[in-house]
Amino acid sequence: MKKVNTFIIALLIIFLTGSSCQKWLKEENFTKISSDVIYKDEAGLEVGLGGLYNLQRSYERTTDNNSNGLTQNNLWLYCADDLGCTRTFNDAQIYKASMTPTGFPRGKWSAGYQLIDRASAVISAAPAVSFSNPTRKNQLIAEAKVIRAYTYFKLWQLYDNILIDTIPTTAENAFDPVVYKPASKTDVLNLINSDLDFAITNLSYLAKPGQVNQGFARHLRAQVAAWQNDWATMAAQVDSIVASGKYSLQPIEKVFGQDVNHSEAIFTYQLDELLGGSEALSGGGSTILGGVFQARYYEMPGGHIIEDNNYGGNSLGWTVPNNYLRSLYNPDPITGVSADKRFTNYYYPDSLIGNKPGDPYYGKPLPKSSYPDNYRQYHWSVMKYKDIAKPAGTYQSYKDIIVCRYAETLLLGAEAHWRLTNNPSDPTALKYINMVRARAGVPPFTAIDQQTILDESARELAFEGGRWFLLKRMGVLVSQVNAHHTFGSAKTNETVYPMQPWMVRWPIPQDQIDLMAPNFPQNPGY
Amino acid sequence: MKCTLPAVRSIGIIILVIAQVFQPFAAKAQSLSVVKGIVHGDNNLPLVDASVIIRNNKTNFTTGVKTDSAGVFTVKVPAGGPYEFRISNVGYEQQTLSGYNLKEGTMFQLDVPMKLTAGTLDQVVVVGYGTRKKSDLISSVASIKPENATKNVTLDLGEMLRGKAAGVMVTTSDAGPGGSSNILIRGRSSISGGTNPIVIADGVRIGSINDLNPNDIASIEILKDAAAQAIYGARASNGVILITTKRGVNGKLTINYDGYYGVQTAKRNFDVYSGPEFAQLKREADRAVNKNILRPDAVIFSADELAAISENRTIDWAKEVLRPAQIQNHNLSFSSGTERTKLYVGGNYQNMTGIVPTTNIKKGTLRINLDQTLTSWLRIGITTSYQSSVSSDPNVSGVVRQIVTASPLGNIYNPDGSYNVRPGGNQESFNPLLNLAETHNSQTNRNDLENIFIDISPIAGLNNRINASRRSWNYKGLNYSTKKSESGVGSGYGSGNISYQENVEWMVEDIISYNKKIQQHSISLTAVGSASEQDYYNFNNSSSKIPNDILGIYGLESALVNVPTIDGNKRRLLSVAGRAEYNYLSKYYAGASGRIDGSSVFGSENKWGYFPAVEAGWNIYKEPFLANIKAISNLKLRASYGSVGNEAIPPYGSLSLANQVDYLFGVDRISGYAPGSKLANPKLKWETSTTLNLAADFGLFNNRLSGTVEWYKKSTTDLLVNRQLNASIGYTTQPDNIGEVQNKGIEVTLNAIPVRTKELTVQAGLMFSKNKNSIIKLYGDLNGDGREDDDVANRWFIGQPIEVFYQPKYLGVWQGQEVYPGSTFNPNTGKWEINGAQAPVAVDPKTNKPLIDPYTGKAPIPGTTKIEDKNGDGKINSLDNYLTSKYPSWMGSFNLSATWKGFDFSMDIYTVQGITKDNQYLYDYTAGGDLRGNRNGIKVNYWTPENPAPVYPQPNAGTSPPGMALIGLQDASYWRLQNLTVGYSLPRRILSPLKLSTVRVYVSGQNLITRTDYLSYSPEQDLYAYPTTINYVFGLKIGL
Repeated sequence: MKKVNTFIIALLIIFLTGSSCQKWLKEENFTKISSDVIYKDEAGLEVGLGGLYNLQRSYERTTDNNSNGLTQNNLWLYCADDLGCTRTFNDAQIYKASMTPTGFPRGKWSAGYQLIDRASAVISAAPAVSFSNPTRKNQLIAEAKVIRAYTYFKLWQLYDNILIDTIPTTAENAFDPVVYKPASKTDVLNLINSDLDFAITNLSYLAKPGQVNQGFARHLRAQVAAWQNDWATMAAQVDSIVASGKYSLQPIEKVFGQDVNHSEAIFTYQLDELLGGSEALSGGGSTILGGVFQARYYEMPGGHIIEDNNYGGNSLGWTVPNNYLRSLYNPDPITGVSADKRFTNYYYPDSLIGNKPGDPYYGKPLPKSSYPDNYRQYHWSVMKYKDIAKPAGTYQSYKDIIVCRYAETLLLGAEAHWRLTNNPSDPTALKYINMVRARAGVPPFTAIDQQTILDESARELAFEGGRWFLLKRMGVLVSQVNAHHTFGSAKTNETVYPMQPWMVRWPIPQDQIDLMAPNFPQNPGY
Repeated sequence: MKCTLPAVRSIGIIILVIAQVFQPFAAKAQSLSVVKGIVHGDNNLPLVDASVIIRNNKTNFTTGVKTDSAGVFTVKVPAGGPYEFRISNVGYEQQTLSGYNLKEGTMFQLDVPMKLTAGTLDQVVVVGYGTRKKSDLISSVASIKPENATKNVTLDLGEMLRGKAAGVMVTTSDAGPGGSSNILIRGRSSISGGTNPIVIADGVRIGSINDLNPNDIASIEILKDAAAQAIYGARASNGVILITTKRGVNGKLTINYDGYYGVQTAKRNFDVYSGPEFAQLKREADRAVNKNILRPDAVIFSADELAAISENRTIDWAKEVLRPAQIQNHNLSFSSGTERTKLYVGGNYQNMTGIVPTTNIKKGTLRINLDQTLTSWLRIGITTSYQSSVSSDPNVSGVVRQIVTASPLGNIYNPDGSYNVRPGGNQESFNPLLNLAETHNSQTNRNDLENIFIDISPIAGLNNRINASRRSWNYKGLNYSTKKSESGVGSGYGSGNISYQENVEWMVEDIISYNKKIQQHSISLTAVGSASEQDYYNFNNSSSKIPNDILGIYGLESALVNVPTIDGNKRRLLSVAGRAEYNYLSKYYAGASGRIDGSSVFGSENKWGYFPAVEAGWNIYKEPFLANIKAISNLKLRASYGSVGNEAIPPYGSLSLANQVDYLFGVDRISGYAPGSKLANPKLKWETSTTLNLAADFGLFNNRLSGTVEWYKKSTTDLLVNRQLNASIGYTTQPDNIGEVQNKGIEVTLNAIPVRTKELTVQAGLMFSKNKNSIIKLYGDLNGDGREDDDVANRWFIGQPIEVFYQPKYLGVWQGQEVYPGSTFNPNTGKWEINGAQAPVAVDPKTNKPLIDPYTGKAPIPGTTKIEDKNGDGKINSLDNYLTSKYPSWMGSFNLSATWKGFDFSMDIYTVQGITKDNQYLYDYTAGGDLRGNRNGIKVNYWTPENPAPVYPQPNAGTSPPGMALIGLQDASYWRLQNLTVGYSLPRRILSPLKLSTVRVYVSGQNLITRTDYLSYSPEQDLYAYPTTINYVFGLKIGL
């Protein structure tokens, strides 16, 4: 029996000495890569940069995926300037009851810092890594710097009070004591400028579609200079872009044609249905921009119109261009049509032709009774995002999106030269703005001022997402919005809703204010 | 001795060695003696199925036998002695007869009278790694009789447990075929960690409680306090459900069939708008956006709608889509045993269709439990279970919602007989029948469990069990939407996905237990060593742009887009546990237990956790000073204190990982990786729950009235929380251990036998439980205001339950007279007028200025929502919010059962009181509650200029009335007649000639009546979930 007890005791001891099994309990993920792999060598940094491009496109997404409210934040910028009439979706957030620190979507704030942190990780790790081709190393850093600068620029323009942090975060340094205080405008813009200047030196104009290049870096640099009233730099950057000869204005019908990777596009987001389906995939998620600004003609009374990509196909009709924008094209009071080629190329026609096979109005103009006063079903609509390749039954499109195009550069240049010389007939300024006008088939200007630039910008760049920033920079955001931006779903209820002066800054998400307490202030007014 | 694991793996070798050591003790061939006995029960009738254990105290030879229908048992045992006979039967006091020496070749005769027990005190209760007599139980363990649970007409075992144990809250998440429920024991104690109890069947952790066939269950125990749970350590803080399955018994062959067949229907307690009512809603919605002037139908409605209006047609979607469904359950079991070999085989087949067409499940389970005695000291057992199911559930929650939201105006079918995609012509209102017809889903599940244990008992009272198991779960899911489905109509292509999952869990355990009684002192010791691993893989391929529907999802090879994803993880747990218990005279009890667990999911420095518990008990009724009080038949006080852990977080929380995020340059794919928004925490560790449990058990009048009152306080610290980070550092969340949550509650269980005569027995039971959940601490006081900080973004507030609503109070609707006093509404101008002129806005008596609606900051508009400005600052902001708990204030159940002659009756009533839920049907856009007229919805009395309704605002075609989302909070308390069963068993005189032991027929109804104010299909369920049904079945039970 003694033998037996010895064995039992031996068994007990075996089980009670389990504490040296750390190795067996060590965790490793066999389907995902560890973060530290990215910032270790050349191959890692290349995929790190690839990741930045993806995060950047996601940051600006206009897809059905509204996680973190990012789509809503981004659409807001298209819908909240002086040119639109908003029916639904964003209306409560645009200058209304939900434009509050708790009610306003918060993705733009938090995802922006995420993108900046990942860019900083690439930027700070790259110098110590040896590359087979040293030029590629600087180019890689430059691309990451453009992405970081662009993101900081956007955050600063939206919130004014932001944080600067260029040290990548790790689990070890994440909770180092920090006093959260807004960075000064000078510090923010200096950081952006130094990133962009590095990029201008190290990037070429030649780039693949979707890749950042010297042209984009200079365009951004000109925009930043404009905020600093540095007209000379602004003019010089535009002049360099023009002098490069890499860009040219497209014929009007091609600007927003099916292929937007043309010589007018300076920077684009690349989408591809066959490689896409969600944000993380190379082809990305589908954009809903086309549907948002397009009424649902196929719901019009009478049923003479079916879903057809020539009329935008399936659609949403959340925000449509308003009467103020229409008036800027000086349409003929009788026909309602403008001679400005942009009026017919950037917008769907008012009179529709029946397209339902077998319908009495097939191929014929619709009867008057078909046009309801219901903006969801019928309204003058934006055609810039028309995609004839998408299925007609969906509003989801994989057409590439132009972020920045040469026409905008030229308008920036016109403003820069006019302000630099303070001469309304500055020849370079007129040359630039009239290039844009000539392409639209409208007579040249002989003198310009801020209002003519703003109006020309509206005619050329409406619903491309940049106007809100332009109005804010020129200090006319509140007055323009209060004069022209409307809400409504029919003529009978279209109204102006006043924007409060503090709303030129977005509210900083309340939870973030709580987390940065006590030194980081909420933007005034909220 | 580096590691436990190799040690565990080498157990096989050890067994061999031990077997060598014990060789001399191995049983030799011996001469036999026959024992024959008869057992008498109440009224001196023979007692059927009584269990007789025969043990030779010298050689440890043990065997068991059951009495037959004449109450007789016969068994052959080796001659010798002294022998001890233990005779037991449910409801009777155990009899022990000892000191018999049996002579070779003789027959020994016994006549055993049995006495009815006073109550259930001798019932055996399964505890972690062992069993206890109920009278010896100190920790908090709720036993559920399987026959009470399986009475419920449902295929979900979780649902069967509802109302069966105090402190256990069961919420049905999905009542459809193959659905399951959430079980919460004594309140929610974790914020981001899991809240599901672990389920242990026959000593092996299983994946879901529904991996078992309910009819195979011999007992269900729920461990509720730390003293009971501590032996399960790091996985126990959400409670432990212990299930023991049936095993064969010696000497008796039984075959049982039990089956039922029935129908199911769903019932909702609200109406939707009929066609004409919906048309009126649309007119009013259109009027609101047109300066309150009604416009002609021609500009409001589509052609399909106009036709329906003129013909006064209504589509009743509930009638078109839902159908009565069938449910059937067949169970056949077989059990037999000899002295050395015992076998139980249970087979089950379930078939259920859903009330939503195309939903169904077929499920089969086979269990084989085998016990083999090898020698007097060595026993081996095998427990196996095989289960497979095929089910279909194509996006049903969407369909349940569409039944409410689809337009009642229009046409279901096109003139050619095909489905009309948008019955009313409106994009939001999709035809639910189309998706049901055009989406296909098939899910195949397979669950296998193999478990082998070896019991080595070298000396009396000592047992060493080696337990090894492997459990695997395989899943195959196929989904396909044809070109005609909702997505297909949009894209012009078929699409779908196929996914394969595999989960394998293995475990090796060694359990040493030792029980010894020295005079009045009883000692019981248990030691456990355990290692387990779970491996999980998932492969999914999503296909879109499949050009034709010929092959369905199997046509994915022709799809233009295929997106594969692969996912996998592994988690490991290494543990040592022990328990020591002592009692004196079965009067004074003390015990201590504990477990050390090492889990792979935590940070490298915090893998190990230690969980101890102590307990004490006192059987006061055995004290002399109570012995004279005849009324008191039981009184016991119990107390326990201890801690357990929670490791229920996903693996890899402590690792920094990068997501694949690719890009595209023109046509070139660019590979990309970036860390996600979650920051790793290398220091991540356990969440610890510490519970103090105080209880009193009592029995009065010979235990005709008995009950338990328990009070507990459970504090959970180092909470696993996905904490929010200041986003400016580039990460927004991090798994972390912070703060403290407390659950405090009281549980009362009462049982009574008001009538017990020879022919009629009536039993009644009552259960009540109340739990208060509150957050004690989160991040500390970071802002230095001297108070613990709330986490407003996550809606976590100090002193409040984990889940709360945080919103201002909805007051109702601004009325015309309130805004424009003395005015009348002019339908021609759409204005509130006095003498033909627009009336002025009323003056606010407080400010002497025109009224301002605090929600909009503008003059109020009659018919819009009115929100309470709690602090009166003229604005609606977070300062106006109220906190409302999402948890019930109490739950209870009542059951009544009776037997009279061959008839039996039982009834269960269940209630949840004081619970508030947010009913999205009342306001949400996608649920048709927003009164825009885009979708149909719950019928409410909405405001119009002519109808000054108090609660629901004026419909508005343009936008959902602002502030309407605040309308949703509703009292969701309910009472439910959960089950009603009436059965009849044929008397023995009819059965005996047929050689049958039981024939019982019964009818049963499930969820027959529900009383609630909450507008829904079922008040306890999520809004869009597959609704709980009302079931009626007919059943038959035959025993051989």
